[in-house]
Amino acid sequence: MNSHEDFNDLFLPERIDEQITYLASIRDAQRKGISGAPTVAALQNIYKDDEGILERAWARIIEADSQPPRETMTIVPIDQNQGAGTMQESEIFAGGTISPERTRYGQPAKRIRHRVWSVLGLVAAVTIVLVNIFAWGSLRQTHQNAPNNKISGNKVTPIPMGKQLCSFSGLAQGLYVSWSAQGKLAISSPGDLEIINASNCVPILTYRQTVENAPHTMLTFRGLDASWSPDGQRLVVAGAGASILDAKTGKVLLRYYPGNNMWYGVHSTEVYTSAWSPDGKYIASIVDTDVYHLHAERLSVQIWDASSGKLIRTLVTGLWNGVYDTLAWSPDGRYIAVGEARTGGDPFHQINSIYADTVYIWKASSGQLVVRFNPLTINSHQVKIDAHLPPNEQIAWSPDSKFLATASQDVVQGWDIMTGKELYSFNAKRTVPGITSLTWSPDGRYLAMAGYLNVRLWNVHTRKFGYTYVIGNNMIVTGVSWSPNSTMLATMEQNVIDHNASATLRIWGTA
Amino acid sequence: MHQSRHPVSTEESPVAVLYQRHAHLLLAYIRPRVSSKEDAEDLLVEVFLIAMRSEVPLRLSESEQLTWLRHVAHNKIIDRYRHIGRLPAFSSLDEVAETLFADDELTPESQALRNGDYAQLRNYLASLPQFHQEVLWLRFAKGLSTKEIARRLAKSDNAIRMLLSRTLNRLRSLYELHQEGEQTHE
Repeated sequence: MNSHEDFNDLFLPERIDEQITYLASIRDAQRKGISGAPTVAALQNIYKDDEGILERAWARIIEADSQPPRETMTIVPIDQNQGAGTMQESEIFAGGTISPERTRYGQPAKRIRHRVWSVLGLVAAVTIVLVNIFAWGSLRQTHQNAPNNKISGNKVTPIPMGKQLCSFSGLAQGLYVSWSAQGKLAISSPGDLEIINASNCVPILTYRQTVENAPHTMLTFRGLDASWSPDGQRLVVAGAGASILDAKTGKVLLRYYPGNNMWYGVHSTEVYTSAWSPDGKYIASIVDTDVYHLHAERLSVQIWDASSGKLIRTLVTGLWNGVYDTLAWSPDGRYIAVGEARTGGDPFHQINSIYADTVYIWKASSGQLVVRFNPLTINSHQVKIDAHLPPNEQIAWSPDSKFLATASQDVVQGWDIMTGKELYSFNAKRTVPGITSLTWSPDGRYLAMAGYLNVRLWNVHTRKFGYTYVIGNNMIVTGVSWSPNSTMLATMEQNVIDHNASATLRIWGTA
Repeated sequence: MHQSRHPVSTEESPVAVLYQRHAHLLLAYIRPRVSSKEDAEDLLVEVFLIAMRSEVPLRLSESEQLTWLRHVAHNKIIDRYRHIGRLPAFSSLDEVAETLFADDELTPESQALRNGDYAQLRNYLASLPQFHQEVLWLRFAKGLSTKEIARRLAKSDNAIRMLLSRTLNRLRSLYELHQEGEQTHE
């Protein structure tokens, strides 16, 4: 056995090449007994593995590049000092950000078929647009009468549980979905936001993030996490900074940057997710004030004014840079809750051996921290925590703001906010594996949980699972949103195997 | 635009040069942050397709290019994790069902297997200064001697020897000390 000092001087500068060559030649079975051999073998395996990935990835890149470009490839360079005042939107979008169809990588055999389909698709698209224009007038007439009642009117026509009302498959990649009080849906794919009429799944408006509407911003190439203002008139769209959009025109009313850090003339900040105060005056956001700072604990929670874009206060800094962190403003407006999950610990020895989830609740008016707790450590099931899973802490308020539901590592828990007591908890590893979304129905009856296998409705009153929506083969649900009257659910599904298959938005009944 | 299948020659397109310079470093950044090598490959492709269709990287210095690529990768990882993150590398519902009914005890092990045994080492490698990463890559992926590495990176042979031996001693203490400690306790 070596002493610990040996660890500092085994590899010698003067003999390093020979040592590596010798240690690399040692066979598997003998490695354990020879100092340095396991490390050299591990490094060889890591780099061999990586070289394989690099070769395959390169082959795919040039394969994708050999396909005919669908849009102009020339763009005007960004003026570092002036932003991009003179650029045409289409040019910027073509070069600067990513249009969904250009991210697809076709297989060689599919390429010719693709060209034929492109032409056919164009003809079909023009036809559909024309038909829609003609149909639109009459549809609008019709919807003013009956079907709108299903969505936003006072009369509620129940749609049977699981029955599909309509669907939309226009996005190449679908990520978020959010239902407005006005019966509209905002759905998003990287760099692109689509507003859809929820009663018939017909698109109304498209918003694309460009250098023009997001100046001094590195176009994010990221799904635009959008959330409706309570009155359904505006949308807050997260990206490199946040934008407030007029939902009718798609115009940017305001931009908010969470910090002043700039990198090469663009903001090096990100807004990950945002929530409106119920009165529509303020927005709370989880933000990254310096994307290029590699330290992991760099997220903050900020409250800002939705009409002036001014920072009101920072609730917390130093949150773990977990991409699953969630934020929710209580429906009564009094509290802001954030779910944080972190992995790691000692960066050298114990990495990935720690998994901790934390829920914070602040008083919105004063910014005072009301409570901070770790749901998984309190759970009565003593679930074995898997530190290798990506950090994920989902939270959802009950409509009366008295309870908070949390989900992390597939453990779903309910909390009484006044007493801090756990009301219920169950392990959903077998029933809804891989929960990535937890949403409370506005009538308080159900918790909708989406995982990689299904979407399940859990009845909060009976504490039993109700309806199960089984996702198709190779599909995943990337977003879930309730209709304001709780009679319908919108789900965004995406094929994870076939990159050419488009994402599908479905609206189905829950009555 | 003519491009060879191997990103080895410098007389190629800008994206080939970009790939040759940064792909391995970007992969080192991506790999510990995703759960499978397939995910890492997908992300690498996505990031370089964006780079290929953007003028931005051409106007940046070498180190700025890597920072830019990391930012794009960072955003792509967020999208993937937020929505797809916990999806295991299954291809069909049947396979998922099989796992659902498998013994709970197996889950962490199979997860570890999927991540590879080197998650910790990869994390450390990704946290090393860029120059250290270059040296290790040239030694272990490209099989170059310290002399050749020195020539390539315009440093003295001595400096490369020092750096490589120090880095390897450190890596060994991280990778082997922990294991030996466990054996001593048994």
